[in-house]
Amino acid sequence: MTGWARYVGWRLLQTAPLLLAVTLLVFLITKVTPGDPARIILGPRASEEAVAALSHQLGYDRSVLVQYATFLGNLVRGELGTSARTSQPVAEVIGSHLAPTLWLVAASVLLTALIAVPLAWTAATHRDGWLDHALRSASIVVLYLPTFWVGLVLIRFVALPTGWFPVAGFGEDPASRLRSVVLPAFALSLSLAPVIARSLRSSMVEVLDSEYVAAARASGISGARLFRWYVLRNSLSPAVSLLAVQAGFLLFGVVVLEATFDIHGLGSTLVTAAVGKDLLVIQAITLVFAVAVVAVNLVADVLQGALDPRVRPQ
Amino acid sequence: MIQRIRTIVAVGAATVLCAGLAACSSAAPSDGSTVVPGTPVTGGSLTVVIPDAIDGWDPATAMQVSTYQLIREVTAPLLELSPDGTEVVPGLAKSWSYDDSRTKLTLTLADGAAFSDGAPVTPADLVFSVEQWKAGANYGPLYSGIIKSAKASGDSSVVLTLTAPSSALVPILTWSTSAVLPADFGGKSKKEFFAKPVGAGPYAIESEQPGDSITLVRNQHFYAAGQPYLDKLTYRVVADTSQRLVQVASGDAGMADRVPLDSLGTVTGDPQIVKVPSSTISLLIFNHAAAPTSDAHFRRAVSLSIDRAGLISGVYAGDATVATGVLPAVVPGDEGCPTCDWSAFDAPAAKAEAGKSGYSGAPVELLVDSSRGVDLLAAQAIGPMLEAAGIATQIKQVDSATYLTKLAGGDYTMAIGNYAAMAPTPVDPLSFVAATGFLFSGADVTAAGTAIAAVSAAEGTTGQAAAVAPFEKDAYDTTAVAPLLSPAVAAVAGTSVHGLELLPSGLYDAARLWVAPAS
Repeated sequence: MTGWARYVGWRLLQTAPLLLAVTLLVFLITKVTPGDPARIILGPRASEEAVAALSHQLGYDRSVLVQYATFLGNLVRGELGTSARTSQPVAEVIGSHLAPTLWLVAASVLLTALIAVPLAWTAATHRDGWLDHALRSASIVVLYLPTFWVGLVLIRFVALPTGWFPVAGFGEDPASRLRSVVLPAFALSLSLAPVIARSLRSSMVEVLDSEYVAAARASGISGARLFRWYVLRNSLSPAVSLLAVQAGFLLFGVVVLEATFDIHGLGSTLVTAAVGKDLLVIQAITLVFAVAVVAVNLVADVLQGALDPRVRPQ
Repeated sequence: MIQRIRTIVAVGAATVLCAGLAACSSAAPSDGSTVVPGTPVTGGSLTVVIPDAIDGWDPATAMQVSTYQLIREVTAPLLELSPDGTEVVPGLAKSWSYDDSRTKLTLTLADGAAFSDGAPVTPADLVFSVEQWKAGANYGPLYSGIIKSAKASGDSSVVLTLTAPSSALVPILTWSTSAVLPADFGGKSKKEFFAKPVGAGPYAIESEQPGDSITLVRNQHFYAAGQPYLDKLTYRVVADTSQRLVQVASGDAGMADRVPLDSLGTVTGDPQIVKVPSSTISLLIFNHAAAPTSDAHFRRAVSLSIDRAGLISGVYAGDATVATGVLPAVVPGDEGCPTCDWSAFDAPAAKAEAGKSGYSGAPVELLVDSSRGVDLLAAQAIGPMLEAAGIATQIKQVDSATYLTKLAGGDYTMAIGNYAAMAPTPVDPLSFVAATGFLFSGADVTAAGTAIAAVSAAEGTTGQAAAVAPFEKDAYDTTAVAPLLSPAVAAVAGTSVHGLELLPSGLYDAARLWVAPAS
């Protein structure tokens, strides 16, 4: 077995207890938060007897330990259960809401890279100049703009007057889907790009001062070739690591922006499920998010190894 | 945190969004004729953004207002309401009549009544439907308490035999829960049928994304000639009010129903704002099992402390009326009680009553559903009013799920609550009042039960009003709860949308909606 395979296998093994801890945490949170799911499903008119009967039917009257064990057992068998509110299989709920979230995340990461890399390069090549200071100051201001507010501003000042982008929803075909995620992805990338750009700028400054860049310049390498093969490649490692750390924040932003732009993805479904105490849906989506964060970190580790031989597993 | 996200988004939207554009919906006369202004146009489509997803198509378990709205468009009830919601008018049943003993109600089907699959609606379908109503989990006891049996009579009539004379039955037949279903669910299992039901309403289901959207198309076999006007009607679930208003402003949606009154201020541009007095009562609920609200003097002190008129002008911008009783005043047959004055506002008297109660001065928790912004504003206004009478309060905001659980479990002291009547009979709100242990206060429900029986037996609205009065008097004398006001109900629609007539419940007849073609 190669070093990489062993490393990935070991990391995957490490994620198992982590995911187990996540399931327990999510389960306990849904249990300790107030609100009786059976009462919420049946409504105010339902008698106490009807509420108790539904609680029994859903298994909510069993001990927390039994409920958790049942949940885990079902999870291992790949059974996520049925939504208490819509009677839809939870796997179907996730499947039908996954695409908008994936589109949004992918577009956000892409836009973050498209914004952060040129900004970092510009700042690094104008180190301590007015442009560098202006970009760094602006990045701090942008970083602290609330994501939802940016979203609302984009709706008001871009989507509504121009009609170029929809104010809400997720399109039917690839082109309209792309249009529908541009503004939320831009809003999300504005909160990520400053952090990445600042990290990338620092790395680029270091790399630009390095001897191997000086040597490359001395041998006549410059411009795009120098940037791509000497500077960017050697500066990316910390930024990739930082982006992975920001994965959780990214998903939180997705929840907020799906609500702002009325995109029916996993984030907005999670909000609806939480309001309606749809426990199985809450648990499943949270688990999907947890798996996503773990997976992103794993991919980032592998990517770092590919970019920087010093962190490759031996 | 989730609730906070919604609140932040809503508040942010109120401060940021201010644009309104007019374009909405699409329409063209399907026969290519010239359009006469004001004349309904057949054809076109409309998208309505609604605040909550439906909780299934089974009328027996319907709970959300969205569900009531959509069920009646697909599986229409037997009878309909007049546009102002005060009278019962023919629907799938073109006529109805009682026998002399008033224990047999004969209903005759409309000519040409048919389900959307083309099958005619028969008396056998009605008999089957009645059995379904009676077996329902939530409303079954109400139907069973009134209807003894149903029997087909001839080719187009059915006779309902009642357990006793009841004036409530005909209004209840306008409920969405009185849906007409094909006998034996058209040969399907109940589960299969309600996955995509076939009904005799103005529309048929074309597609559904559970929790997200539902698309309806015209029922070509609808009994009312010429209706519905729209070819297609799409309902999209958009929980955030600001986002719903933006979608109407941008033209992505043609209409937003049940728009909270505190959000109407953010509507700009030229969309129509349709407002009518609602059948909702907003009230203060007291926990009779906990001190200090277990004491009638304290409850009276609270009621006397509140300047309801001030609340209406300050919080509701005048879009409400002072409550005249526990039951909504717009319900025919309810005139409150002549000697009750819920509008009484007397701080010195309130102080005296609080003194008699032995109230210690400790802050009293006021529970508010945080998803209802207007209730939160009302709570913030009520606090200082009570303070003036020497009653300290502490507002506790919780999410809707927690709110309902706390209320139902008696885990509160005082709460701001709301409930609405759906049918034009006092039996509707009275049955809710009784079923919820007098609106979760734990107050004695005997008077409510007596009133239900008396209203059912009474003939005409005068007799019903007399039957309701003792309940209202008892509620007033004991200050079991403190009715505050009855707010308006509102919808926002693009200028091309016509035929929108809101009922006091916030529902509307979607068969009458039409959209004007773009000029």
